[in-house]
Amino acid sequence: MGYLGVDVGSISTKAVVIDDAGQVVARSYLWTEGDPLAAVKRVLAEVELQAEAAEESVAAVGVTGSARELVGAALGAQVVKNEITAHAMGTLARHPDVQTILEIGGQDSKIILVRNGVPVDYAMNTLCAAGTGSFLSAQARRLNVPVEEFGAYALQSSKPTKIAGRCTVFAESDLVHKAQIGHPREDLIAGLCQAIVMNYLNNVGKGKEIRAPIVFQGGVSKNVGVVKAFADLTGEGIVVDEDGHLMGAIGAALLAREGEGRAAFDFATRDLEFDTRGYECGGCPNDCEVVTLCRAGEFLDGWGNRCERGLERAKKNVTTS
Amino acid sequence: MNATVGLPRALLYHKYGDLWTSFFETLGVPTVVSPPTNRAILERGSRLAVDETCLPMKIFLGHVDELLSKADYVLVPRVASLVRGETTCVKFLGAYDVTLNSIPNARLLEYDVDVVNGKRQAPEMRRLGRSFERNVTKVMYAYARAYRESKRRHLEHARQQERAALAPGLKVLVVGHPYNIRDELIGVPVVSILREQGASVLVAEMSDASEAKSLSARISRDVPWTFNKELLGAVEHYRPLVDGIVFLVTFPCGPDSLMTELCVRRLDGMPTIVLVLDELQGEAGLRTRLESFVDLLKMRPGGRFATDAVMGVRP
Repeated sequence: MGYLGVDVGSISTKAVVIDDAGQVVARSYLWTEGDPLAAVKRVLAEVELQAEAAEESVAAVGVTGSARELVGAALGAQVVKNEITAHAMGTLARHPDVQTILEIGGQDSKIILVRNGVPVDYAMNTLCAAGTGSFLSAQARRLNVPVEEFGAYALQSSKPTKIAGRCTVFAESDLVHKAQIGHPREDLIAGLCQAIVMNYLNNVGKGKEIRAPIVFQGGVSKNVGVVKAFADLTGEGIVVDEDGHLMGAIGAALLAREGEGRAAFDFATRDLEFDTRGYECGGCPNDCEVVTLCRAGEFLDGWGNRCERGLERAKKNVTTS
Repeated sequence: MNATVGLPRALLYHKYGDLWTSFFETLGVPTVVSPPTNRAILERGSRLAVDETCLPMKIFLGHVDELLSKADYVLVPRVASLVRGETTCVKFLGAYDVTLNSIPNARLLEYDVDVVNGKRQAPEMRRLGRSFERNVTKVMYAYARAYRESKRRHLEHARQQERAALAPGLKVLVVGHPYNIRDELIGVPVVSILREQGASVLVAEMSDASEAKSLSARISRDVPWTFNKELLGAVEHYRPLVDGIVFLVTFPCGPDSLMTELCVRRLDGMPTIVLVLDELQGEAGLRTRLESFVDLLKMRPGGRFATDAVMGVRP
């Protein structure tokens, strides 16, 4: 039997199918592009073919990531879990001896401390997305270097430029200033990679004891420049799993496997028409922004409401329009 | 017929609400309390406040504004210090003047508490009472009764929680000012998400404030703010009884950011999470952080909770 795990993040959408032994038999990784439901349809199309080839049918579905409510309801998932738990589960399955999990994604970054195979502490970035993937993308645009080539540039540098990485806006002016006074491009890029790591260690990793083995994952872990900066600044080896970007999805699939819910999943679900609608409830001065999800015109689920009345009104709204 | 006094359900109401209500009631003065904070109240407060104002103060202004059409007067005390050698956050000193500057047509009632400079609560509230009741004995009686009544309710509340702290099960301590924890938009969602996740929630409040303060010295002797001292003491008191601690801070808050740093550094081995809320906060980020925090508490070794308890299955 197979288990489908879907991780719908702010920037990318990931799906895997694992077998009973926990091996990944199908995988897909695509940009979310601001439309999580469409992204899920596309990743499902890819994993369906691979799962068929591996002769695995899906018996349970787990969903994680920032769009987990929406996608979980659309797919009728058995397990809907937050991304921190999912990542810890996925990483532990592949690296049972891990003690520190570093993760930098498109808009958030987290650290999970694991001792004796059990997560014991974690932290996540607060209000600000500085020091995440979107910070690097913004600076890459400024330097006119594709973000995918950042790592290669950074490795050429022996003297990374110091760049203030606390805030994207200040980093940008600092970067421009350093470029204007003549710092070479590879030093600037290596400096940016260090800035991101410094920012991470000072904010997310503040006060946490980072012990080896360290596994680094999330989209930014594909950037060898940042991996090197982590290794330099922590003085430890950094493990980057080739499926590191899929850990959330793997964790979600494992959670679905561990859970009790079973229902044969039909990949044809992705051909159904899903329709989301947002509106302001207006039932009380809170004016909750309620979102409803309909499948083929039929009310599936809704959220954003602070009270039950919000959902009742949402249902009525769907059936009458 | 006496005029109606409006009590804004914000800031000190969450500490002195019982005292005020009982005091005015005994004097035969009708009171009206603003409704629990909602989006509309917050938006009104944000419009009235200058940008740098903290979230609880914005909410407070919204409540005052809400009461203008419902009450003849709105009670906005000045509280500069409650104990010798200590101080309160400046917003309690400035509340009256800030309110009057932000809402010039507001009709406010005030009383001043500044123990450091010799202004104590009892005579000050009695002075306020005299503007409604000329008979001094009746005012003294009203204050004594209100004080007794509010103290009794506070003790009852705190003892109930101290019993709950000894019950089995996963327990999370939420550390924050009562005006944050009890606010419908700030703390109430945090507490209800924690409960949904199967944790029983304790708040950092003790029956005995002076015991709390002496306990707070174990974490730091140098904190000057009375309310933060009480919170620190409660952290020290409850920490052996709980599985994890949530710090609930609103943006921007100087005293809380210092206190939180102190605690997180001194509470070695205790899982903690710091939530900084501002008016733009969406619920999604809050839920993710609290869910995973409770998952982590359930998975901890030595914790009384098996790993399989984490597998949340959607009904």
